[in-house]
Amino acid sequence: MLKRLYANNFRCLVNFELKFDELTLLLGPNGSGKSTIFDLLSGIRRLLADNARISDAFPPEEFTAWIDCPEQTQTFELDVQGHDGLFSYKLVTTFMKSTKKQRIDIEQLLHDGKPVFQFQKGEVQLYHDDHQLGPKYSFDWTVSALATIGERNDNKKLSWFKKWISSLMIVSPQPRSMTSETKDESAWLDPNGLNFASWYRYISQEHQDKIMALSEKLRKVIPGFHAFKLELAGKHRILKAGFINGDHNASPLFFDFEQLSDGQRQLIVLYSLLIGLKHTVLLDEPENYLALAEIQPWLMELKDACGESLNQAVLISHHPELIDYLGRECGKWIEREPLGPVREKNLPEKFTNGFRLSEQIARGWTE
Amino acid sequence: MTGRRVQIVILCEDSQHEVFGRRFLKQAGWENSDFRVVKSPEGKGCASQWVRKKFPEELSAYRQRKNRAASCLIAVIDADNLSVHERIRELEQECMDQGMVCRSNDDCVAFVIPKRNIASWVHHLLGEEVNESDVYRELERESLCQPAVAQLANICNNRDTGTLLPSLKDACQEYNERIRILKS
Repeated sequence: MLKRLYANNFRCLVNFELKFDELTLLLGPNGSGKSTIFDLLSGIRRLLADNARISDAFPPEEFTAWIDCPEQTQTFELDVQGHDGLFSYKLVTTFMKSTKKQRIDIEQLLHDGKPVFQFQKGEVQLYHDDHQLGPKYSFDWTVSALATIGERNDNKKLSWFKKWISSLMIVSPQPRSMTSETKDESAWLDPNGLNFASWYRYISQEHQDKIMALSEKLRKVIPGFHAFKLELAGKHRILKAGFINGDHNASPLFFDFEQLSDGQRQLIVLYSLLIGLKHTVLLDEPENYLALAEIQPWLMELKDACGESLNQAVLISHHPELIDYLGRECGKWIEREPLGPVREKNLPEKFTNGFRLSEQIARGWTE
Repeated sequence: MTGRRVQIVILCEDSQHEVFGRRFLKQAGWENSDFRVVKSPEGKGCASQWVRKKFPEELSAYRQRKNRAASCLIAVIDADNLSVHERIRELEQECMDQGMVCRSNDDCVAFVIPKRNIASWVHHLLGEEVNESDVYRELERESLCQPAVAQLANICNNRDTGTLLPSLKDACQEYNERIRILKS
């Protein structure tokens, strides 16, 4: 579970720290930096899970615009609670304006304050799980050395952290762009959920036990829904959703996934994220496309799942249903002045007489 | 295409009430999609007044709806330093102040009134020695009430409420007489 994030010199995040709970709702005006927090985590995931170059994961134009000096340094820190201790990851990068070169200065992973991995001045120092010194070698400054280390029997801690990063689901679902076709399985749902069919295919292969529970849940949530099937189409497969009318003996009528409505696809993605794969899920405006009546039941499911079948959830929303259901207990208020850094502030003070938080926010009575 | 229709409105003070109530009803076979949670915007503390004030509005909505579809209303409100009956009288008074008759015997409207508060019930159901006067520590996480809820569902289902705290016994009776009927 992500416990804490620190960032300095990344877009509007300057000397910024935020702590997270099992369920966190990020609130704040447009342009306050909420989605930037998700983008930062996406960048770290790209660096560590996709082996992206530092200049691709965190391009120079994403250094804070109003900090201008010949050599710019960017710092990121993550604290992640694992099963047997706290992981602290630190990444320090530098961009040199004169040469237009970007490099990783420091990359470090600690477990309960003891070293697991260290990269500094072009040298990697590995440690075994018991924190004894391991091999030391020179490495490229432009990619993450941690990303390149394979799983072994004596680096279980390091591997746990890498798996956690890889399984981060940072999603702003765009149902209209989701396709029915799947070329292969994907253990990861991409940032807009476009590869849902491939992710479903992965779940149906690797976690078959979850599929029945998901179908059952969707039957209760989507009127007429019966089941999915992955139909062979040449070298690919097509995800299809079967529907039945009231007659349970009738054969289902199957539709391509992309023929479903935006709201139905959104519901399917949202409920699929709760099936028990123990992910940390970050969702930007999950309520988009949902009918009003569908929002609170999903929030209840999410709340029930958090810390149980779902590791952790962080949401961004401006919707009154989310604000009023989760805001007082799980809300974090994010704010910034124009061209100023993002700061976490206290939630708007409670009014007496049952005034709703969403109403306070709608009136801008947040100071 | 028809959408979801709420069957049970849970009017409550805070999230611990909500989670306890919802999880209990789920044990009895309801789904989250059957519920609409209406909880105090003020969260913990001072929320009992909000529930009292909101109750007549929800009761009125229930009455307008009940002839069209199976539905019910559950009001969850801590007794605090009052008795369960005093809390009920307060709710009745709120209705009278609005010119309304409070619930009748055939209304699927249940009062769930933990005394002293919901933490007393949870600790009691988890097997601790508990009375209805002292204040007990709140749970670290709301979901930790699950074993207590499961225990209560079992007791309530078997109508074997003899050893329960008096306020919990009352709540079981409310459930069995006014809500359970919707499932049968």
